[in-house]
Amino acid sequence: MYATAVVEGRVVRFKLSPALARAQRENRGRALTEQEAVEFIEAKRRSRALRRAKPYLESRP
Amino acid sequence: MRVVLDTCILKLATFPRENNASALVFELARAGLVEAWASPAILEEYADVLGDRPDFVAEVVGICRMCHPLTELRIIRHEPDNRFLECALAVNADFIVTVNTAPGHFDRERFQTVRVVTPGQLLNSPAVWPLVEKLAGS
Repeated sequence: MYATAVVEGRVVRFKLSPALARAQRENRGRALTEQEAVEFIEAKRRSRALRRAKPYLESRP
Repeated sequence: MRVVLDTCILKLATFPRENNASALVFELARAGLVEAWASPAILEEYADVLGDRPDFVAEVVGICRMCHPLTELRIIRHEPDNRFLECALAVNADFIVTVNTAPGHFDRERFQTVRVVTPGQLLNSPAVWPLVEKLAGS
C-alpha cells in the first residue's frame, strides 16, 4: 500500500510498512486532526498516571 | 540525522490522508535514512498509546535506537514532554518531531541544539529532501 505527502510542493508517493498499511486500511474513512491526536495522547497519559497512582490513593485513609 | 518522534506523530501516521507527512517521517526512519531514538520511558508511552496496534508498536520498537538518559529534566512545563527532551539531548538529536507546539509543551523553536519541528517542516528541510527522494525512488 502506498501513501502520499507533499514535500517541497511536490507530491511524493511512498510505500507503507505492513503494520502501517494495515492500520491505515482499518482507519479508512476516519480522520484524525493534529489537535485530536494531541488530545488523544494527553487522555492516555492521564489514564496511565491515574492507573499508577491508584494503589497509593487507595491506601490512603 | 537523529530524531526523536513525539507519540502524536506515530498516532497520526496510522490515519490515511492525502498529505501524510507523519507516515513519511516514520518510513524514513524505518528505511534507516534517519535515526529515530527513544528511551524506555518513550517506548512505554508508544506501547501504551498505540496499544490497539501491537504490530505497529513492534515495528516502531524495531526501528528505534535505544538511549538511557542519565538526567531527569524539568524544563518543559507539561512534565511528560520532558522524557522526549531528555532523550533528544542525551543523543544530541537534531530534531524533536511533534505537532504539539502549544504553550507549555514544545513551545520553543529549539532546546539547546535540538530543533523542534513539525513533520512538514522536517520533510522540507534541505538536509531531509534528498532522503525523501531516495525513499520515494527506491
